[in-house]
Amino acid sequence: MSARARLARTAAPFRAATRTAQVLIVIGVLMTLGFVFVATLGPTLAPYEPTQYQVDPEEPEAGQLPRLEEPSSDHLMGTNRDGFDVFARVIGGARVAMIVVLVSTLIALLVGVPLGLLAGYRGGRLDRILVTTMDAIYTFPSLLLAIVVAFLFGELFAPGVASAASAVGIVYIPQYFRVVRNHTLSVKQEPFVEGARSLGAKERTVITRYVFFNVVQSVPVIFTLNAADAVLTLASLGFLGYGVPPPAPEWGFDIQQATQDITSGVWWTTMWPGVAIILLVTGLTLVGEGLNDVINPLLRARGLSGTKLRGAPIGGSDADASLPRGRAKAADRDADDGADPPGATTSTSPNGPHRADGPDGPATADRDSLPPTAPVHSATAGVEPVLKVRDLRVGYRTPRGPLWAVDGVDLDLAPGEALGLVGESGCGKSSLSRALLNLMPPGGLVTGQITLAARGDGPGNEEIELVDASRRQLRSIRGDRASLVFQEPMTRLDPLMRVSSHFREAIKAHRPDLSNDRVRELTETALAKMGIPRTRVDNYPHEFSGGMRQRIMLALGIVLQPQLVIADEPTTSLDVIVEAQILDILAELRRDADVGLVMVTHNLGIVAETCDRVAVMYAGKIVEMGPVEQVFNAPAHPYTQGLMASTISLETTELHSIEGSPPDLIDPPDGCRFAARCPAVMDRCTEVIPRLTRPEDTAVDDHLAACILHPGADPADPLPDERS
Amino acid sequence: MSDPAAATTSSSSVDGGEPLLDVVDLHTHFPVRGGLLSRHKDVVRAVDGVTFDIQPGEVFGLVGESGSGKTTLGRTLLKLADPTSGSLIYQGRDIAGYDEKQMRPLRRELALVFQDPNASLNPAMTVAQGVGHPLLIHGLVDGRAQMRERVAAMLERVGLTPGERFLDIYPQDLSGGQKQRLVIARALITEPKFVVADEPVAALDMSVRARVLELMLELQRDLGLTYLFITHDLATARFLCDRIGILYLGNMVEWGDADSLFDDPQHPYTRSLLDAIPLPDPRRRDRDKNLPVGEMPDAQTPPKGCRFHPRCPVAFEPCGWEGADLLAFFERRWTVVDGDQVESELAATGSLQAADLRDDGVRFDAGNPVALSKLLEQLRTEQAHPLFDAVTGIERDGGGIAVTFGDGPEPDLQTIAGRQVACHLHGTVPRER
Ligand code: SF4
Ligand code: SF4
Repeated sequence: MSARARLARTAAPFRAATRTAQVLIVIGVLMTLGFVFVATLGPTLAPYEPTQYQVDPEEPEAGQLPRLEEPSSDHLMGTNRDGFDVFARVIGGARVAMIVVLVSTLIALLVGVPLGLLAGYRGGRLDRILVTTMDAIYTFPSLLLAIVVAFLFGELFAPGVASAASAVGIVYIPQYFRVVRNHTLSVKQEPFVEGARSLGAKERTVITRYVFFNVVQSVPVIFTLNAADAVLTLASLGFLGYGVPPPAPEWGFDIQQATQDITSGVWWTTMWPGVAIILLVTGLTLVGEGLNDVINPLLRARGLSGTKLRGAPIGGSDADASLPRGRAKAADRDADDGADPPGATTSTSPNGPHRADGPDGPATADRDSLPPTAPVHSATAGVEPVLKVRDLRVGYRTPRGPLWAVDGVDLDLAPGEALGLVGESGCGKSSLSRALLNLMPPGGLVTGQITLAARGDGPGNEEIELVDASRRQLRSIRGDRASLVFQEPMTRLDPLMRVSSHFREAIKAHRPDLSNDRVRELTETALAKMGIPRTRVDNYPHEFSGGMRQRIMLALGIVLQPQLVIADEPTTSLDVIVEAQILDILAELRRDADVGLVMVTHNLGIVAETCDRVAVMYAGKIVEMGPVEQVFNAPAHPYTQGLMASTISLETTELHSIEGSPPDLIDPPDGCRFAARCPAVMDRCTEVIPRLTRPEDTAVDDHLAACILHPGADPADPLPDERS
Repeated sequence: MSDPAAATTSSSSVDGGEPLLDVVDLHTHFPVRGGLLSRHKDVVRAVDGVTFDIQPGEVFGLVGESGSGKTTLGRTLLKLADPTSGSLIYQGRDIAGYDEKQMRPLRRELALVFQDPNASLNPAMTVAQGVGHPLLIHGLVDGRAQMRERVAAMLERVGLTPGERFLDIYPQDLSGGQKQRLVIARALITEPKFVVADEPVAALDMSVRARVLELMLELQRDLGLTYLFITHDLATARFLCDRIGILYLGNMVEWGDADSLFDDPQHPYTRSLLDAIPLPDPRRRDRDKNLPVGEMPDAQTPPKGCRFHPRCPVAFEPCGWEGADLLAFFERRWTVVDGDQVESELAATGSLQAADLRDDGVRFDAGNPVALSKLLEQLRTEQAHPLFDAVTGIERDGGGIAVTFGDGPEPDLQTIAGRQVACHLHGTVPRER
């Protein structure tokens, strides 16, 4: 990679940061650089030596000027009680501060980083001893520690810059140690480290080339954050008289000296060093916080950061609203694909809502040109759907403009129906499922209509439009009328709460009037349905296996008899046998209760086993939809055909794959989005957006495909109904 | 039925060929570390007595669920985990006891491909550095220029063309499929003989999987590689592998020729695995699935006798019943019988948590010993569960009731239908420990 590309790559997260953040970082950098400049060039800038007694130039023999001269053209910041020029002392103080920060950091780095690496990599007793020691140092009040060390070093060697720097440095050793150790621990778990061993690399090589290089990236952040703190510690030491001894210029000490004169109206001796401290600390903090924001997402993208991004993941305080964290999982990454640092800027892009394209624009063809009464999206015409989705678009802000992970989806779900939503990573299925209950990360965009039908009568059960629903309305619906079951059950259960408490909390939130006995009864029944005996109801989540925890999540999801359950890859982290058990339970559940199920999965087998209807998604759009038997036996869209052919089953004798990869959704191609990979592509395919229509050779009404191989799918064609 | 004469269907002892790797009674146990003050030492028996062999040029599939020990076994074969006992004969040399230094020259012949391509590449190294590093480690190239040349050639070999274009980028800039190609390139650049591929396509999308698998097969044919293919996906294993071993809780329960194993599974666990696969065919939705109950227990305290017995749908008397099975029986029963019955039975047994598990059975600190012994006798007569066939005694023990079980030996591998199978259904052959 060229140096320029490297730079561009490092700068990318900076560009992704918000405008304010960028400005603050720049200000911080300028302030810090200013200080470095002053500190380096100090002697040439200052008119006097910081320790030079000021005499009256006109009457040198009269001796020193009266001390505490007010600021004047000769002495810009005045002189202090020792008769030193304050300006010179402030500048000199900058140099002392810089030296102490650098030396102390060096000490902390040289001790903390290797120890952290060693402890993290080797583990065992050495690790435990070091961690205990460092924790002891860390919990010790840092200023007190610095004083003790400064005093000791002063006695043992000589008080001076070196002693002060060591005192400050020792305070920060535990911080470097902790960050480096924790980072090493997580990097050590990465397969590439074991991979290096399997290649025959020596331990030293593994630690340096594979571990250290990845860990060291976190050092600049700690450095800038600690540097500000170090400046304050140094000043405090000086103020208390344990720092750099006089007459060396040091801000803290100077302020302490000057406090004696404040009462006599002398302001300049305290103010200027004080301002210097504030400015430097502010500058360094701005840089540190900024770097933290910029570098952290970078580390996170590399899967190495243990630190959280700022801000709650989604929708504020809702406990069930967090996205799975960490490295993108195999199953579906589209929610992460578009996620970006909170608060990123965006503009209305050319890919804005399709409404802007006008009624005749090809982009609207798949929706607007359908006859308004066509029951095409419903499995059971005539039955009021429990969930109705119209022209749903779900997007994320990115530095390059909005990414529409779901781009114009229409769906109906009948009560008691199970709909499978399949597709590969990034097709939009997870974004769709999250948007259905409005569980979007900050910066997520949702437009269109999602209507949840009324559930009987009574307050709180009326038909509701979820896209514009308030947070309170959504909270009252989630877990009661509609619930979501995720992939990793353990991250959804509070390890410190008994299973029964999870249920009590969930039930009471929606049915505050239920008696405790009734709550208990509901809990036990729901769990028993999932095969969990009442004797285990009061256990903690960690006392259950992975499959049991997923059963608990399912039980939690259905305990209040919701109208709608959305299951997002509910069995992906489970083994095949446990998966089959859970799928059986789901199937049973649907037979007994009239719950509508949306099953999001990448596994066609799961759809075939559990669903009535299937919707195949590709690049943010539904490309084919219909009854499971129909779609599996006679797939009409080339993508569905390819997906089925590439699925490896026990009968597979020959491998198939779909060439190419999915399109960039920030700048999607014109026409059919599958065109670049489609074996049947024609010129016309890149000109029009195919609409969902019934393929001519299909036996059932509600089988639809969006491919112009089928007459009627080209928006220029008449609709099949009009043809007849 | 399989044909025992086919070269790959039987172990080395039958066909006489020299195996590339001969694994005999291999154990890999890990100590479980307690807290800072804990003196208590437990072990996880991740691999617990595995015997099989890998023939040169074959693809051997190691199939198991998570917790079966398949990854540990793979790592042990490459000596990335140290075997506790047993032997590991690689081309005539027992490398089980080799230390890291003795292993180092062998490392270029043994390669590893991981499941997650995102995590198996060092993000701090460019493609050239990462893929070329093994060449430098083993001193196989003179200088950087030659290394880059070799790397570029290898990249083209795995379908990343033109190779030069990839040399100076970082792995993070590639797609999942490309990254996995990179991992394969790195594994193969030292021209190894034996490659352990641990779920190499599990993290990839369906439409990309086939391409990576095809590449792996092509390289295997062209370079004469031998693969150990570790997977939980039976369908992929069947397509890819010549022979397959099914691992359950640290034991190989069945191994042999892939096709015959799938067409006619001889071990109940193998059969369950096959039944459990969700089929992409809605017409077969209502087929009979004979699913095992529960989940794989942890390898710290494996069940007695046959390790699969608590879950086995066809388990019978000699399979190793013990006290824990009786407790699990009650727990499961109480999710299906009605509430009043649960109350009365629970009153009889007392808290199950308080029951005392012993070597020969279990003692209930019974709430009502008379009622409990009556209940147990009744369940025994009803043969409510095969475990009752193994009950040898139901006796008063102080204020409680002690239930004792007869011996249930661990099944040893026996040759059935040209395969190795460890199950009492084929005759009780106790295994020696
Ligand atoms: S519209 Fe054209 S490119 Fe799209 S799936 Fe149909 S044939 Fe292929
Ligand atoms: S020995 Fe065979 S029948 Fe008995 S439990 Fe084990 S697998 Fe089942």
